[in-house]
Amino acid sequence: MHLPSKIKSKYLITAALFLFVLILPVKNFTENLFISFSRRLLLSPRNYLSKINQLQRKNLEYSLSLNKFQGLQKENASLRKALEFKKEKNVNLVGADIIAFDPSSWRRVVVLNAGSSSGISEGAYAINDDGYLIGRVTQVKRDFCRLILLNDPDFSSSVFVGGKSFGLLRGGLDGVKVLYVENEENVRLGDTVWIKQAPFNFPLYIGKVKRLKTDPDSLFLELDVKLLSDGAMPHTIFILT
Amino acid sequence: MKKEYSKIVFILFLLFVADITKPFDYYLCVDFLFLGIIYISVRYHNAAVFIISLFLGYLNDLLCASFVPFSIVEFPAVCLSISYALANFNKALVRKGVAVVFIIFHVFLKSLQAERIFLLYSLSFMVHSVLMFLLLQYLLNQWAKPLSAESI
Repeated sequence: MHLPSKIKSKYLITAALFLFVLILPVKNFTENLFISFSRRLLLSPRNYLSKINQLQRKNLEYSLSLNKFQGLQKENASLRKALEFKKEKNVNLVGADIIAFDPSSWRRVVVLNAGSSSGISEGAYAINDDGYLIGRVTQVKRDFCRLILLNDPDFSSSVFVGGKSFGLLRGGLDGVKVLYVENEENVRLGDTVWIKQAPFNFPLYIGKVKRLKTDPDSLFLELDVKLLSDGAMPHTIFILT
Repeated sequence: MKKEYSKIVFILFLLFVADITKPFDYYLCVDFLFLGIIYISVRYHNAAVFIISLFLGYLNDLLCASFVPFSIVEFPAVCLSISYALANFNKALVRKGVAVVFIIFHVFLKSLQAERIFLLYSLSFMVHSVLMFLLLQYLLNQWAKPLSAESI
């Protein structure tokens, strides 16, 4: 092997040029790698500190808003009292567990472990833990009751659709439908289907309109409903009393 | 023989419990007890099985939401029909096709009871039930090996 000083200069220059061209594309990458690494090392504590300050500020803003809303609530209550508005009935919820299903898979009826001794009465509506309607109590005994679910073939109830329309909700194993809906113009896809049970002054949501069926020979619309309570059966159900 | 009948009753009771607890929620569209009745009617077509099906039909109706007792008529009728078919037609053919025929018959009766036809659900029910019957048949044949009855 010859020493570099002994190698002819033209070969040395060629080798140097070759190495330079080879390293050049990688040079930028290597440079950026070292720079960004050092930046992260030096600046990351500063980033965390600024984030903490931001979160503290937001927390304070939310606390002040909460105080404001609590003040408004008190003012609202005193004004209602002054104007003698009718008092809304408080909602009482009775939680019950499912202890059995109807043996036939053609029915959607469940048996709950709460009955008249817990204050449940026939016709009471049941909701899941998200607050969506799932069914109605059909039979009550002292310690248990039967609940018919929305998609049982025997379930039916009058419901509202959106803000202006109403119809008859009918359960079914192939899906829940709303029948006898007038006013085609007031109904849109995605409209909420809901119900209002006296004496509670709030709506109970059932689902959303997923399909509109119009029949030229019929005066009414038929709507297919996607239930908001779709999915696995909840273990605990709440009954409005 | 007593041991064999006690096994049958135990199996059917387990299937009844599966119906009322619904371990797979409503995703599995199967009437386990009905499939059990078909299985034992094909395997042990005698008077004891008829009485067991009558009793289980009554038990099924006790927990049903419907006011009209349905299973107390359907289960013994299925039992008698299978006995008749096995006595008067080609046994091998009857054993192969009996589950499908009676599942379709069950779907028809339930649709009549509901006064509506649910096409999608009926199709799911038939497919799930046939597959579940084949699985039950295989498992129960392994477990309850017959002393004197013919194997399916």
